[in-house]
Amino acid sequence: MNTLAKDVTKDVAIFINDFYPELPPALEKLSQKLGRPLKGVMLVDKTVRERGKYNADKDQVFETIVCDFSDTSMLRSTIKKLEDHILLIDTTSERGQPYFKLVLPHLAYLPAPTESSLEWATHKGQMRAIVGAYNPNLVPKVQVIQDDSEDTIKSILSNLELPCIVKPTGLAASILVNKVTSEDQLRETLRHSFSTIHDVYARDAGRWDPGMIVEEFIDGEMYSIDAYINDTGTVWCLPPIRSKTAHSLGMDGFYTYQNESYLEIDETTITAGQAAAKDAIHALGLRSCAAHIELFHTQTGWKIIELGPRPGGYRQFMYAAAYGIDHAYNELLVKIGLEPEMPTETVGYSLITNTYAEEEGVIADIEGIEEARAIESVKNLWVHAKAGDFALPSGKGGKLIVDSEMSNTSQQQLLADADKLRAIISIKLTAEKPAITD
Amino acid sequence: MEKDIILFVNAIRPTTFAAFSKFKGETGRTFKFIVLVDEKIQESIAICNGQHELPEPIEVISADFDKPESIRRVLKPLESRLFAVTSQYENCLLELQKLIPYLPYMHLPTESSLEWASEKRLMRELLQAHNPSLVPAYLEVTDISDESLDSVERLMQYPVIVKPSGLEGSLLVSLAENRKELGVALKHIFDEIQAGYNLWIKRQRPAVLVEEFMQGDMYSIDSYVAADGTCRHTPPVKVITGRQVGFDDFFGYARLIPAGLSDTEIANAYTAAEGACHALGLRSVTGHVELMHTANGWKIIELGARIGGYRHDLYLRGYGINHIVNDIRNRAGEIPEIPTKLIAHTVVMQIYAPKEGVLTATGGEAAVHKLPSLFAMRQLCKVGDTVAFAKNNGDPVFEVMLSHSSEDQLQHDITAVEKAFSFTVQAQTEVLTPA
Repeated sequence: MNTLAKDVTKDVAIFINDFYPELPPALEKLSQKLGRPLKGVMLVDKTVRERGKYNADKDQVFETIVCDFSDTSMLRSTIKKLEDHILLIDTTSERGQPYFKLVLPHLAYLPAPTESSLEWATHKGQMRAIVGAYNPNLVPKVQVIQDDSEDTIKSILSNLELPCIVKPTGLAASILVNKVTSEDQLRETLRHSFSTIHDVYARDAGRWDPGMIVEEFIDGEMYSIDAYINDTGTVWCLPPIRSKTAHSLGMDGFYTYQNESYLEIDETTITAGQAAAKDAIHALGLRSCAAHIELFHTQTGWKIIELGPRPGGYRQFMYAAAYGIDHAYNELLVKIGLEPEMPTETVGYSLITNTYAEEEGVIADIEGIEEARAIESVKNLWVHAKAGDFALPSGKGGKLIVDSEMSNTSQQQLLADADKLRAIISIKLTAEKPAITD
Repeated sequence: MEKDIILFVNAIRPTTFAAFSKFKGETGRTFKFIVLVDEKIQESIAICNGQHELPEPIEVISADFDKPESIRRVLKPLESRLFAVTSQYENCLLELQKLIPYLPYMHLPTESSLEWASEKRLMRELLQAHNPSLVPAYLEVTDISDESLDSVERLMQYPVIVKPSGLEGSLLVSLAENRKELGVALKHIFDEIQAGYNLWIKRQRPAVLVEEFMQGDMYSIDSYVAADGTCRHTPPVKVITGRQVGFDDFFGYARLIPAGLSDTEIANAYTAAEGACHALGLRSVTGHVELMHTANGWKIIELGARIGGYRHDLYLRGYGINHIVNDIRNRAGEIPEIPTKLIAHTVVMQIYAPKEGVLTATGGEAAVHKLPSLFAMRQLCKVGDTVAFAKNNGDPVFEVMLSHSSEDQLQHDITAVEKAFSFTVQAQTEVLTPA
């Protein structure tokens, strides 16, 4: 065991802003491994708390400390009270990364990412520039834009070949992501995106300043790979997860319609995908963290489209159900310099369904929820909207309405249950409204 | 692959060659030196940091530090061989900061810590948050309005020190005893600060600080801060300012070892220095800490994320400490060697002309050359140059380094130096006569 793991005075784990239910059991497991009690502390930015845009530790499983992260002195004083006891620091959410960046230099003696790597990884424009500088073959051709002026549009048309994908630089979950195949569509999409981007950034706590990128469309199959990186740059890659976008299934929008643990690609292709993920991690200089890499398998190899310095959403469930991997626990292990536990046997199959509104309008009802929850493979199902809420398609800034975590030891049964769930759940809309409301 | 390259950001100190030659003789270990300079300031930094007069040829490569593909291009062939990356000068820290995220698997400081250590306001803010007793009252001032003067007077008592937030070496530092003098000092610094930043190739935003004047004796300590925060300190250096010998200026007139402090005083100074390094989160770097020994204990004047000027020569002569090699080995994760047995009493003196103007003649060099303890003398301002005090962005005319195993001999030679030099400035001849 390394120094941190053995140092009995280090017994505090700091988590920034967002609480996730997998954190307490992961910390308890680490506590058992190290043979000493460990305490979790949520360090929450004052403004984030006031705005309420975070996952609060409502049951107060951990101690919560609130501090104004924009006040360097206050942050320093707050951390000073804890620093002799801090074992690790972790930020699980994408939106928490800018806050993590502010805390990092005050904990200089803990293994942690560099400040710039967090910014690079969570800004789609910078991520592409940095990864492209490392290996131009890893990313599609891209242009970062700040407006929809005539000059900008001319510049895009002269630099890139249509079709292109238009997406925001600092939002997750495919919000405001659109494909354009013509100049007219490009103009219309940019006009709409820039007219709503500030509202959407405010609503979804977008990272950094609002901006958009336009990148050449990649034709291929989408996957994601989660990985762990230690402080010396050693990378452990998990098996890929297949992501089926709505677009790939012939529907509108680029949101992830379904994530699946089972794969139809061979070992050589998987190894090549993991090598591309590793390259992207090293390009961004990530260390002492988990990473979530989204990539396309194309005819000309693997291309990176997103990379977050954090575990991917739903991956705790998916990797546990499919491979028996405790993702959150592994992340804590690499943060204190220990190797993650990587079982390789398949123990089952896991799948995620996401449901968005297909049209714009006010929700009258969301039907079939309880019936869907009763399906054998459905382990968790969440509803994020209610009757009376305004709904938009994902490409226009709309948010997720229903999602579910499903697993089964039978792949066939899992697929049948997923089809059944989609047939049961129905979002009924009544009328349209002109503006986004939170 | 063997880690045999030391990368110097922007510039290399000339004494580095001799320091590593000595290290090679003692250990057999050899390294290849490469200077990596930001191409946007390549020529200006070479002139400013004396890179055209290096004792040995060195490979110099360049990149645009603001373009990722440019940095990647130059680092890629070197990465696997890099033993350490270092910035030996204050005006190279910004470029080191820009390189850090491209070398995440090496021991390097955090990006913010370099910014905090380069800006006195941020430094004081963090020192105060870490331990309020470490710093005097201070305020950043943005203009010379009555409101600004009122704000200063509400927060602190006269006398106060007016200084730039981002320059080293007492440049543009002045003392104000009352409101009128404060107004004059602020006007002067606001008039000159941009020129000072330009001269020293500092690319940060110029800012001005006013802080309460501390009564006490000044010392410095260089601390090797390891990656895990462990601080290994060099012995203290006593600093005598120009003001203490009769100049209206705060330049470092003499830097002396041993510092003449008791073991307890030294231990307390180390504790203060360590607190300062930890307050800024320094790691894998040498912290140059300037401290004031006051009636209320040790206070931090400032802290730089680099070795102190002249410290290699002082420590090598005084204690046999190879400071430049230690700095680099510490950055590479190795433990520096710090012998503490005094070998020789040592001093570095900066000799300014007693007046400002055009230097038309100098005298006394021959007498200084004959002193038994002299080991180096350098003339920085030549006849025909304009000379100015440090508070006006000026350089000393001479640097003199003396070292001797006998304290009495050294004291004798210091006095001889003070008497020997004479300067003619704008047709006036004045003999340097310290108070």
